[in-house]
Amino acid sequence: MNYQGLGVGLGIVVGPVRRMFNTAPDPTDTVSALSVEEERVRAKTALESVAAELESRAKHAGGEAHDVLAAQAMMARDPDVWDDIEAQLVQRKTAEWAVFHAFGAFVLMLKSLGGTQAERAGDLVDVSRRTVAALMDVPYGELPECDEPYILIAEDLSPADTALLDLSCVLALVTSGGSPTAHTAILARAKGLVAVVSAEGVLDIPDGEIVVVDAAEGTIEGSPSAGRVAEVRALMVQEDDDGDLSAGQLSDGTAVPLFANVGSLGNVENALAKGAEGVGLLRTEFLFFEEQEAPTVEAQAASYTEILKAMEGRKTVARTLDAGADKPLAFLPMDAEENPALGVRGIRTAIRHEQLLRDQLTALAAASEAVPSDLWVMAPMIADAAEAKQFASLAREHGVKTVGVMIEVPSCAIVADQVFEAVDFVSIGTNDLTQYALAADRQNGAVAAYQDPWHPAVLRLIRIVGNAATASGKPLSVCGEAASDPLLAVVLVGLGVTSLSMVPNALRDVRATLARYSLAEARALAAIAVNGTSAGEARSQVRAALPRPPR
Amino acid sequence: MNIEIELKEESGVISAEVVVGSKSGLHARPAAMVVALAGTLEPPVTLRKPDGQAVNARSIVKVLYQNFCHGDVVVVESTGDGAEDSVREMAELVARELDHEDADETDD
Repeated sequence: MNYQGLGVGLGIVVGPVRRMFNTAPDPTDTVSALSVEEERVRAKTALESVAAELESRAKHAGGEAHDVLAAQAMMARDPDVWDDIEAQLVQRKTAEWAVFHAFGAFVLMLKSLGGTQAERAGDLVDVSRRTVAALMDVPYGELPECDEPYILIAEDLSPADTALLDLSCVLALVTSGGSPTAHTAILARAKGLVAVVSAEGVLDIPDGEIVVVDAAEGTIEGSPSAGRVAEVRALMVQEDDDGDLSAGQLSDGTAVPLFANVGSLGNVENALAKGAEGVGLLRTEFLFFEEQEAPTVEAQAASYTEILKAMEGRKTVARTLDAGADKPLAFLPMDAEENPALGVRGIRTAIRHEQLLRDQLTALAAASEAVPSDLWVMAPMIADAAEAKQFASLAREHGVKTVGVMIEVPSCAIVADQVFEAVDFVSIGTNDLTQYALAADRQNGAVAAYQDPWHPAVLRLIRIVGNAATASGKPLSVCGEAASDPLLAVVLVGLGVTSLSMVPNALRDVRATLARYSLAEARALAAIAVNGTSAGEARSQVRAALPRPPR
Repeated sequence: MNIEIELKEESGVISAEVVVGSKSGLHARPAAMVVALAGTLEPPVTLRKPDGQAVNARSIVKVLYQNFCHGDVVVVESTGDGAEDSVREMAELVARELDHEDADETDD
């Protein structure tokens, strides 16, 4: 039996399936056959075992996963939730129902708040399901032991799940839910894992069955023949050896330079090892977020110089500080905002604290003089040409040679022709452009489905910018998540994008896919994509129209 | 960072007003730290917004539901023997910066 989903990347693997269960049956509201005290003991024991399990997993996890798991253990031991559970038990409900009912009420309360609290609601659902599964004695949330590398199948994976995964043991991730833009897919791209999401029915595949997962086709093939298994094994070996670090280009030889997004000096080495031709997005926030005071010009210049030295003259695009109510700084007190995505952030923060921006530009210019380098500097969250001009003159005044802006705000995309007159280059941040075009807060899980850069409205905005780039003869890059999706990368080039910047692990697949199509084909595919009536339709129509497979 | 906590007393209830110091508000990690401390405090403390209802600081779901954000005023309250110490300890924690920043991989 074969299953169809949405592939992430281009990889293909064969291996045994291991399922992770993270759904539990909903209990029914029946009168308990046990005494109230017996049900109370059952509930208490189950909650305590879940809390202990989460605590022990928290100890072994690091970073954000540790915090999530530790908070979940507290949810299982929450005294106010327990009061509500007891209130159900004295009405002769079963422990299963009482737990399900009590947590369910709090889940709705947290969901109603939206934003990050809604994400915590997901954590609470997980605690509730774990406890109900323990009470009903069904498997839940167990990550398979690593006796041999496996293909992990789940309904969907939470950040806490994936943080605990031993990735060296995972051949591929397959989920029945999820979307190509949600957490599992982003993780797969960042780690270079083969993944297929939204593959309905895959939870029925029994543990241990051998399947082929083909991300390029988005398929899961059950019971492959011995010949097919051998063929895929050969491809897997070949991919492991595939050290193609050549410059990005289309099949007709059109150059599409491939750059990496990096957030610190430490990432530069990995980017170059993966064949990045430069850095298309250097996030400079790492210099600021940990600090209690603004870093001095000298300290900043030293850090930038180190990075430029490591880049050995390759193009490096630094983004000026991107802080605001959404990403606050200790030394810049900012008012809490009702709606930080639409508030003071990016260049809007920098203009209010101009000395901070001036210091950063001085430091960047000094670093570019200190070592042989090719430093470009751009500002985030520019709204229009006037703001672009304001930033460009400030940057040039401080000695920056190549000045650009990011286009993330739809208004700026629409007037891209005016913007190109003010600057030397443009880079599109597709994640924010998508959130603003579709009016869907990226931090709000309830509207996550809108966060899809394949949406024709987003692609049409990019087309406006692409046409302006072509008319001006100036470079246009994309440095959002969209650039790391190989097929979308082809479409972006078809829309007029001249270079792409992405997480280093995505470079290989994007490089391979670009090399399969000519510029004329990319333009034809782009024309199809912008005429889709939804993100999903754009994606599937482009796939159907491919003149040859992407790998 | 040492913050001067000003305690008030009204009909046996000890209280202090503090401003949330964590950038991300009392969500996620900071909320868990508040609840962890609350579990060790005797007498127990409650938290509320100035115009809101007091909730048990030992209940993570209630603390999360209060949706205390960066800069919000939190009223910490307790009664009984040792209430001053409980309130002071909790108020100091709430006022502190409890976040640790991690660069977001895909923030553009």
